[in-house]
Amino acid sequence: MMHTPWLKEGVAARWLAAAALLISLAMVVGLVAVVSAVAGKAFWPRPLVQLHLADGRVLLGEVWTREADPNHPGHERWRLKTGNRDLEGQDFVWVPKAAVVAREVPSAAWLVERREYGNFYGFAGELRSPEGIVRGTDERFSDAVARAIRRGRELVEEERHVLDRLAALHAPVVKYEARAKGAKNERRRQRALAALERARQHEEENAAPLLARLAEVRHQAEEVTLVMNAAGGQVMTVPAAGVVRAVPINALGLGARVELYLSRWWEFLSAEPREANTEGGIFPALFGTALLVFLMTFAVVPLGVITAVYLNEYASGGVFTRAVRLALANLAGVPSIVFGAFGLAFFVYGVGGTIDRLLFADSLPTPTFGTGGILWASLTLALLTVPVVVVATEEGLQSVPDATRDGARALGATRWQTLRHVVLPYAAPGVLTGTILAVARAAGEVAPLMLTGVVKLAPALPLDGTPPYLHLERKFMHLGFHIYDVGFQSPNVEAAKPMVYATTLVLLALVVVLNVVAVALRARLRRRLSRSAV
Amino acid sequence: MTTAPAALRTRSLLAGFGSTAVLQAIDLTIPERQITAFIGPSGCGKSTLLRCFNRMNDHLAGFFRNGEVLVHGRDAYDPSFPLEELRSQVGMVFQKPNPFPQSIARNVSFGPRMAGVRDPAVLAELVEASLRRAQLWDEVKDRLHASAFELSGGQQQRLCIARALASGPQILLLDEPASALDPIATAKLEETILELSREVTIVLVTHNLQQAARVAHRTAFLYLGKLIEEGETAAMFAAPRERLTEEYLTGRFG
Amino acid sequence: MRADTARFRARARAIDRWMAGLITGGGAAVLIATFLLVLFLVIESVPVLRSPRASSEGVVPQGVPLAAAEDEYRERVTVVGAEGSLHLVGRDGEVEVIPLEGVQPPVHQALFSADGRFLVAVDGVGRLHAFSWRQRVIWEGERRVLQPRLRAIAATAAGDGKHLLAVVGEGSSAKVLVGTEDGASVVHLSEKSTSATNLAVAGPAVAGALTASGEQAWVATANGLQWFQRLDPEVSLLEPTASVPLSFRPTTAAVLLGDVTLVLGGESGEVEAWQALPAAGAGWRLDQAAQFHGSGRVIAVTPSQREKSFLVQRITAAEILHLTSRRTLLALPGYPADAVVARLSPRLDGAFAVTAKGAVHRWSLQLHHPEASLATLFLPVRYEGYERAHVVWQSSGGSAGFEPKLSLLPLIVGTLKGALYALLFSAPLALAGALYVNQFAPRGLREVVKPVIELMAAVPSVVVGFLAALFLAPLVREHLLISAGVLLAAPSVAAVAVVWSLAPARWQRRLSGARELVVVLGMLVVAGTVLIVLEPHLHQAWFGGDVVHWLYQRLGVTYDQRNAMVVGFALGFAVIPIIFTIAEDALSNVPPSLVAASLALGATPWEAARTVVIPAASPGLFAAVMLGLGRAVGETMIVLMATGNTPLMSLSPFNGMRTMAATIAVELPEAPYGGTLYRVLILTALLLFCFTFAINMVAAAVAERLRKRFGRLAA
Repeated sequence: MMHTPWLKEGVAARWLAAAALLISLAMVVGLVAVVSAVAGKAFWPRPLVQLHLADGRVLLGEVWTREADPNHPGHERWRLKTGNRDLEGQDFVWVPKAAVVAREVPSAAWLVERREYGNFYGFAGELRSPEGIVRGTDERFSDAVARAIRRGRELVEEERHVLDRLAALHAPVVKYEARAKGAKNERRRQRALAALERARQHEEENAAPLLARLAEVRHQAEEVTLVMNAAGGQVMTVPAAGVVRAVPINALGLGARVELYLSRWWEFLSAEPREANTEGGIFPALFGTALLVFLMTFAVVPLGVITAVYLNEYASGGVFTRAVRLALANLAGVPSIVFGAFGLAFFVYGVGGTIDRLLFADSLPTPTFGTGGILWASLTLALLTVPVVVVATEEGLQSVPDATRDGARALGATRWQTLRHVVLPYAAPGVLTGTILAVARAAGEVAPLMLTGVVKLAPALPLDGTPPYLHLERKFMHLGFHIYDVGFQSPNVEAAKPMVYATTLVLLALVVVLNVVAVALRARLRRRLSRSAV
Repeated sequence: MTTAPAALRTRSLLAGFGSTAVLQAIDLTIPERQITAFIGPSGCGKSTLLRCFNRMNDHLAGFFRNGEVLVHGRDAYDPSFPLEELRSQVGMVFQKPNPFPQSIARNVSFGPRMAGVRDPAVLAELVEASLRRAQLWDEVKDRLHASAFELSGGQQQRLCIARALASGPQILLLDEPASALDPIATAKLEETILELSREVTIVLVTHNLQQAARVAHRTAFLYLGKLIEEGETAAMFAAPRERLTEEYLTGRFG
Repeated sequence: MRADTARFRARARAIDRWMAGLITGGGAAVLIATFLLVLFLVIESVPVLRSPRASSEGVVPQGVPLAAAEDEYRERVTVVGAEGSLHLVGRDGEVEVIPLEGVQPPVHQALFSADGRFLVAVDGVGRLHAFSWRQRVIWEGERRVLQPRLRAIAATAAGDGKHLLAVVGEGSSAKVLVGTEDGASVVHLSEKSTSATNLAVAGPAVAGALTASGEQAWVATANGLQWFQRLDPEVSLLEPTASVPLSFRPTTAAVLLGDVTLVLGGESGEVEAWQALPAAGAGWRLDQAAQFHGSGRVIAVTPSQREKSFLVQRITAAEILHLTSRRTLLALPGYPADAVVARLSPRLDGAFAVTAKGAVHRWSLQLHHPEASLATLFLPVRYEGYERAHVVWQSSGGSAGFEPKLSLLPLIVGTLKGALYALLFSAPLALAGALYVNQFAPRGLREVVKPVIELMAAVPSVVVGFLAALFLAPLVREHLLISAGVLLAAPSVAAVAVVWSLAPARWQRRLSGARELVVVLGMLVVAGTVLIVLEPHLHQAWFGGDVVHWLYQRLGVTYDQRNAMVVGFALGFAVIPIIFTIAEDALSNVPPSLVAASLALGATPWEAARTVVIPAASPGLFAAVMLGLGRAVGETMIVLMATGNTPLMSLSPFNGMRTMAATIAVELPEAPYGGTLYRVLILTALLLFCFTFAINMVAAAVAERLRKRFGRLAA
């Protein structure tokens, strides 16, 4: 066979292999770049553009996309976010570029972010309050609006506080009503009814001042209203308490823009979602994710570490050990959705159902633990991530030289003493690496959660001020599921896109940071391993 | 001529791993407060024999044993003789220094701590005493809380000796303690061993015939799992009774 | 002091033993957890295939029956007696009698509607009476009491020679299908008015049925079947919408729940299912959908009010059949030979029969999951409204009469399709990339690449899926030509490389290591730029501006925005790190001495890689691809988001799919616990588990062999 030089050197093969590697790497870089780029500018204030159309309409809004018009080949069309959903019924309009007669960026344009109906774009009208009316032309207008919004926010917070207290007063009534209804016998029913009566009385006695305060707060909140004019001439009136922020956005300087940008990010991370999760923040999802992985570590770290210790320190290499290894390999390879199905069948319906029958029989058929909840989700994830912890811990344990173990045993330490005082402290970085990797894996896992208790909007956090403070049976929100839900199940996907990209960036950053920390830790461990091997 | 009482004694000791016997019917008596060296070619069983005295072989896969091992007259393998108790009486130092990733002081106090000593004053005293006996005190007294890994190889090995001494053993097993050390560190170590032999019985496994000649009062030569010859070092080196011993000592194999 | 030590040591030893137990137990816990995982998936899914059971529940004597029905709680069987009253027969034999008001005994014929809520009777003077019949539940303390409520709707003269075929009702009106000597008619009865619609039937009607909606009627004569639509009280004569000759003599007919399928029973034991389908041109045709085997004249067919099963009452036996699975689920054990009426309980948890002497026999039924069998799960099934047998996954519909279509095949095919496209994309990239890093890359590159690949593995799949669906899919749709052009990347890089290798060796030597990588990167960038620049021109010149439109017009290829290409790319993203890592490990495990020997014999690095390294590592490379396959098969979020989730069996790269994992994720949370769908989905999870288990075993076995082969060489 003749060996042509290009076959012999294999340049083509080598280059192809190099190209494959580069493409793989480019995919990672591309993913991170796209998410960062889109999410990075999601909250950057865009200018409000006013368009005068050929048909006489005047539109004010943000230009979102420009693309080829599928209806008129060769022409361009713009997607304009005009907001004002309450007035127009929609957030976006398509504008053929050809229909635009004139465009300007009016410095008098205002952006009003509202708690309901999304953004409003328009021009200053006036601010009405019991103290009087401040007109838009007045130079005090901006300050007065800012003050009114601050005051409105305080009122909203107070309203929520009062409502929380009212709900807490009412909670026992609901509980005893359910108990009375579900009572198995007459004696129990009577007891529940008596308790119900007491709860009602207690509620009646204490609710009155709260209700009065609530009415007062609501009245005050309604008193101050912001009146704005849309580009099309309509007038929009909104109570100041219903406004998140109002800014003459085109007139802002760079500093003010940066401030606005940062304050939007802060709101995003710290606030509750609004408008079916398409606006506001992701705090409950962040919190849910954090609590979920926190609970999970309590299950996975002991189980993972003990298993690794068993395999590395105690196992004799018999059938049992091989079975454990096999089980681990399978746990690592089984699709996460299968864990979800197991979590649903075993934890939710099996264990949860049993707990309900034994401890919460009164409230059946409404399930307490017999439905998805944060406890079951975290246990399911714990099972899913056991192999991660085991592998990393084993690596940590293997980095402990046998000579060290012998040294301790020769000094009269028992096996457990050796483990506890010498081996485990030595292997701690491995355990930590495993824990972090497990947390990173769990934070990004969504599929099993969909079966074990994640929801798009949880009415309450799983950790709050009402006893027993940690509500393990509650459903929860999760960053990953939030992405899926808002990106795919939302009625207004286009408007929600910046939010979803920002959520994605948060999740990606979280997972990447955790992984980088874990990898760094592991690298240290491996260096030690290679040193001790010499 | 053994006048001193026996510290260690084996009676027809047979031991091995899996299906191979490493030691065959060893009968050996090791007198108190002397240094006894085990010599012999690689694989002759000298380390295995040494590890029988503190039962370190027990942790190795497939180990079996037959015959008696007596430590100060008490059967080491008697189930009523707790393993941990035995090991605090029979200390051991390994080929390579193996300090724990802890401070010097904590390394030395490890044995007593594992035996339940908690009082810091008592521990501090033990640490100082043990380090002094291992002739390391002066070198480390200012940095007792530094990591043991900061010490040089020779220092680390003496630290391991101090660590073993802290448990108060009457017998110290040294498994080729100088094999990883340079000549200067080795000399220092040998000096320490000689000094120690006034108080404790020392059993030394060595590859190095000169070392055996330098420090050991008595020497035992093992070959293929059998005890070929045992006696006073000077006598054996000068006039071995067995032909095998002579061949080994003169370097004809090894 | 010594005593203290001894005590402390004893405690330490006790703790040691205790901890040893605990730790061994911990190791066992993982084993137990895995075992539980499998066990629970099996426990929850296997009942779906459990065979139905019926057990006899005793006999209670009573009077002569004409018709009978049972309440929801199976407390009492209501029997219509010839003397003109209802007998409510309890389980203990206690009978409550309620007279049928206005009915002149003796009653000649009586008939309950399929749901048991309407009753018609023809009395001694030939009048047709319609009643509505309910039993309301009231609670007397802890005790449940059924309060009967019989209400006369209307009565009309029936005339001679007519027999009752079917009745349906709604609120306070009822429709009765009666057969006459020369045809059939539908009598519309309500409190306000009574009218009749004559059905144009050729010959005397022997059997017939009305749909629950009361809008359609089926009438069978001795040799034909007719189907009538739009039964309007205003219409006095109605022509059949469709008719068909029959090959057997029918005896009875009933419409199954859902109003689509008619079950006909025949003289010699035939049981056939018929449905009306739109005919080729216009109009309708009647189509035989199923045939069931059995013998013995069929007396009556009563449909279940829960699903697609029905009771076939024969002369000597009664069987429960199921339409979807085409199975005879069971025959009622100890069925009395002289039974006159046999029916299913409203909740399908029981059946009863009343003999000519009036003895009421009861059975309790556990049909479990009749709509699921190995055949319906894995083979084509002819569903209601379908012309041919199909494999369809459509687990839930709007109404109670919906026929669940639970074929796992579309899901399995979808899963394999997704995995296949993912591997087509990722396996070459990952394997080649690993080979490059391991064999040709400049030193130090590995330290850069490894963390990046680990980062790739760490990216949550929900992020990948999200980007694939909302960013990549529209982009690919918009720039389909560029996506296609990517396929040309490999041949063009190879072509340039071949040309380059003809260049003088002196030049070639200067281009090695990092420089080579930079050159390849440059080529990729240039090729990409060329594609982007050329694309709009090509679009206009060859494809009329829109490739997708062109594909459909010219080739008839439909294009889904979320399709297999996009999924392949996105899933590939998730799979590449797995294949890469394992392949790289396998390549690293080839002893360097082998390569050195090869190089020493004058081979180039490429020849060494090709002839020594790749063959030696090939089991490991295979294992890498297998594990990648395992990941691709089980991945959920990516396919959930980046496929259209349409359960179609199309292998086209331009169409979407629906995978097992995505189906579980979407449908299991909504599936009622213990129901058929729940069990089928858990079975799907079990299948996924088995599949990945098998893959893991193969990969582990391969790795083991590899270790054995090189263990000696490396040592």
